[in-house]
Amino acid sequence: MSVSVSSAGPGKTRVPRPAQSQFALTFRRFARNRAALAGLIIVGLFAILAIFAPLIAPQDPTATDWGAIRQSPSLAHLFGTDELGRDVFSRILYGARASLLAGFVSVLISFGVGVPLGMVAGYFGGFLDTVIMRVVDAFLAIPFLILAIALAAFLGPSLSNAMIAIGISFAPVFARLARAQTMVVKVEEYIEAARSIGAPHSVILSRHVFVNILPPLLVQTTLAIATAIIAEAALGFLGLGQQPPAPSWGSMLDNARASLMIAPTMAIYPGVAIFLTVLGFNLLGDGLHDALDPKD
Amino acid sequence: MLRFLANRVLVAIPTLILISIIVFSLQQLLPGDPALIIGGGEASPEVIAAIREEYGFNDPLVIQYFHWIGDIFRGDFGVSYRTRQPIGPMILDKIPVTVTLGAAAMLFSLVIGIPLGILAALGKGKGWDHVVTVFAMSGISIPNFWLGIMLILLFAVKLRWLPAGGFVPFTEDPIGCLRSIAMPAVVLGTALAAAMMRHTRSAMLNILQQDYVRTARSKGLAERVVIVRHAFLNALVPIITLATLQFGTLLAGAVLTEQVFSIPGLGKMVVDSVFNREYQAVQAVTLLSGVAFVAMNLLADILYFWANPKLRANR
Amino acid sequence: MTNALLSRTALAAIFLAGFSAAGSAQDLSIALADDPDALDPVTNRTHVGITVMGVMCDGLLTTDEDLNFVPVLAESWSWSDDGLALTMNLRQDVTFQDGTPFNADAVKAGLERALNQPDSQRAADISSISSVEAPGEYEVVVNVSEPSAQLLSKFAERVGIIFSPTAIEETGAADIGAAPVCAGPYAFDERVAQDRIVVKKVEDYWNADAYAFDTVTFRVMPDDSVRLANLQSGDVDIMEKLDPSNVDVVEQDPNITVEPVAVMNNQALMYNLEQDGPFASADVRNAFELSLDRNAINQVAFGGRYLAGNQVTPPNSQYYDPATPMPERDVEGAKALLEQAGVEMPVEFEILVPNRPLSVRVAQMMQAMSQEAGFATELNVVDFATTLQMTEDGNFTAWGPIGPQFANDPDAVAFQVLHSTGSRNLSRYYSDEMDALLEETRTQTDPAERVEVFHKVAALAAADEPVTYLYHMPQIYAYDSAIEGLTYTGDGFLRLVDVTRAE
Repeated sequence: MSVSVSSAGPGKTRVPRPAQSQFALTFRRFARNRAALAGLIIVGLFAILAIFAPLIAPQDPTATDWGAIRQSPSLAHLFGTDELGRDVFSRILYGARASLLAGFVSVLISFGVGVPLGMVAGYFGGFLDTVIMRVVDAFLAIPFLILAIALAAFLGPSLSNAMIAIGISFAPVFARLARAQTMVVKVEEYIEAARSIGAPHSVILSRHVFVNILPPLLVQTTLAIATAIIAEAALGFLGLGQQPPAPSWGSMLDNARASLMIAPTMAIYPGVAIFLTVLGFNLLGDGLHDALDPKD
Repeated sequence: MLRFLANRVLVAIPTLILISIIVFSLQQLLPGDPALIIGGGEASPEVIAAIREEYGFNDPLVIQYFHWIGDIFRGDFGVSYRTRQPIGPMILDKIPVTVTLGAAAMLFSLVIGIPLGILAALGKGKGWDHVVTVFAMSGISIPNFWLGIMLILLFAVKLRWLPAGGFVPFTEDPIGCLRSIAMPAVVLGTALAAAMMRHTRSAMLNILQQDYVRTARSKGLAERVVIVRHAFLNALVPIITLATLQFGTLLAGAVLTEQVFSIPGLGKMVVDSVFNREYQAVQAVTLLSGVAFVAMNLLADILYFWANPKLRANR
Repeated sequence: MTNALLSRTALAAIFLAGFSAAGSAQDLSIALADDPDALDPVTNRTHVGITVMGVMCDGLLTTDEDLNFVPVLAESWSWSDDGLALTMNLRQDVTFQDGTPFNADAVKAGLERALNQPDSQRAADISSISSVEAPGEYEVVVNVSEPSAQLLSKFAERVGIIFSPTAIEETGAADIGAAPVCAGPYAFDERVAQDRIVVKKVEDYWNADAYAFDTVTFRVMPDDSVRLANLQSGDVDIMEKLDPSNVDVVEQDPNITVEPVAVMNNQALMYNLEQDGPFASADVRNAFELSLDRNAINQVAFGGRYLAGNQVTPPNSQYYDPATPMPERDVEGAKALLEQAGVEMPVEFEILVPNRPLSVRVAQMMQAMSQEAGFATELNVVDFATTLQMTEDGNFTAWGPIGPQFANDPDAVAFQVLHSTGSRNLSRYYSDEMDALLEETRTQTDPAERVEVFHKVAALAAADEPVTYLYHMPQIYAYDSAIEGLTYTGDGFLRLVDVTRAE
């Protein structure tokens, strides 16, 4: 931090005037995109449900009721009850917490691991670039979910290990994107200017390059959260994610599958919840992409 | 062409080596002694010692790696400790299953994705475009294991038209095979079809704006001829490339699809092996999927090069 | 154009192949819930492995549904007066599936392999055998170091399945499980891992006429609903391990017969007695037992199709001690016991649960029930193989529900779990009194006296509570109603002799 204060100079050149109107333009384009707004609303809604789950949920999501197992939806149980008489609606609400948490945390890991690596590779080039990108390519070559399953399996099944597994498996995507963007940005005039007045690489990378490659990274982040939520549900479905009795949408689906013959509706709700949340993030990401880069 | 190819292969080699190192290192993440885990609860100390010997767990890591990779080059992927079957032939048994499923899914995605993509591009901003866009967005967002469960619920449990799971090899009973693979192919192909729609749409839009298409139109050629002969054939190149590149997605999707429908392919083998603690098998399949992905990429490069006259002229 | 041509050719091929497939040989297909391990009676550890070997192979003897011994490859047997030598007379018209003659030497070699092979899982079962002799071509004498009431029951199980010595020589003992050769009606044909095992009829088998099917295909379908759906669609003929909660629905289907076969097994919670903490006290363990409503567990988790119980054998068994009945749920009583033990409430408790849907379901119920009685119960759900290692290492407080899946004699469910030298004594329960009782069950050759000793074992186990027994699982088979004549061994395995399919 002290470094950036001592070299306040280049900080001013960072935001060229047109960027202001660029932002306004982007915002206006986004606001006009009805699909993107729908995405934003869905994501916001699920976020609120997740945050306020303890207030909204009519019942404790792990409270069992032996007398009322596998009930159909009713006023007492909006989405019915599961094989142990637990309220499915409450479990969906609490499941949103696990899913959104997994989505954000694992993408945070990917971002934190991938972006610095990609920026360093793109900025310095040369041998360092070759080494980093070879490793990134190798990781990318192993299909995402297979890598995540293998990692989760070797680490041991739990929600936090699932997040680590997804985060690591997705990091190469961020590394590759960050590298490509860095290579575009590093030849821009303001970077050259900062370098010519002797700003250290760390400052140029963190204050100039990073800020300017952030928009495309944000688009990727949004889309990555969608993928991570599906991946977490998939791991939960396979028994490699959130462990019972805590609810997660993936493990709820797995449970419901066992009761498919006697209580088919149990399988519907967690699936719809995953679908809507993922759809929301995808719409949002697409909208951001179009707003930032309206070529298409 | 030859130089281009040689160059590509050379670039792929370090990637392959790195993949093998990554896959090998997975084993180091295991909590505890792998010999104990493989032996299970009832194994005596002698058995554990025998396992350690058989798997070479006593050697230094680097030696273990070279043993492992050396064996793999000789086609020896190890022996399942549970069933005493060699893992190599086990994988060979699974490949046709997953390839059948993948091919069916690919076919489904092409048949659905390309026409709808073209339709959307031609009617950009109009009704069809919106329908296709919604379709595509939903297809990408739907978790395929849930879609599988819903299809089972409808077609197997309620209507009883199709088997809920299992796999019949094509050579054994072709109709049974088609029946067993219909739902899984749709499930696995849905996300791919959605990607294909979006890709076809943008590739078509891109080409419709190109000069030669405009020229063709201005020459008064029939719209159908323009679209098919000029626009679509040129859009085909990026579409084929995408199809090849979707290989990894397909393989990853197969893990869940095969699990939901109990199809004995590579994906199910990964999951079963995870739960049976057959770590050598997990490593073998992970390694193979990485190698296959690199090979498919190479193929995509070659296809792209071969199908693109401009690139060829430049070399 | 080429595409159209291709697809037309493909269609033609489909139809041709479809017709030629019709009218092929009779196959019986059986859906298994797990992928068996090596098909070798000496190293086998899985229940489904025995299902497959049981169809392929004859043993020395077997049990009927009332657990009486029935001769198979051993036509007759007799004990010496001192109970230290068992003489068996073998059938004389039997060959192994590779043509090797089945005789006393082969049996001697087979039993010695089970005793001595380093990775044998059977050695502990037959450790009382001191030597095996083959005085005549078809006469085997088994010498034991002490009277062994349990020995015949082992010969009616995996130990009694003998593999061809020639095949073992050729394949090697380590790999024979991938290409088994025994004496029996169906010979190993092929195995596709995690998918299927095919066995084909042995034409010169001595009782070949009693086996109607040319091949038997075992298909591995771990998913309960997939197994069931394949039965309903007619793609398989028989399925094992029907999910008990589905029994009500499946019984409505006129084309399917549901058959629960009672088996002497148990599922229990095993405590780690070597771990310091509240659960080192028998009072606390008994309090935990009192907090449970076993009948509710059976109703909710298993649709009432299992059997609640509190002893090593099911309540309907002669070995069940009527003087130690199953306690009713008593939350207040449990709290009182905890107070008496002087532990701090709520009592922290962690159950290690194998990651199987029904086990997790039961564990969640135990969690909820015990919480009402003053326990702060946490679940640690881990995949099954890992729980094996963790319990071996002593890295757990309690483990379950877990237990032996089948037995043809109470020795198989009691000795290894409760004796201080038992291979499955993961509770680390070391009681001289219990050891003496269990040893007596083995040396006591009078059946009625032996039953009494088992009653004492049950009473002592209930007082010390190293294990809380929860319920007993019948083996629930469901099959196409056209299949006729299915019978079962006393430990619940399929017997295909005289089974036919009605046209």
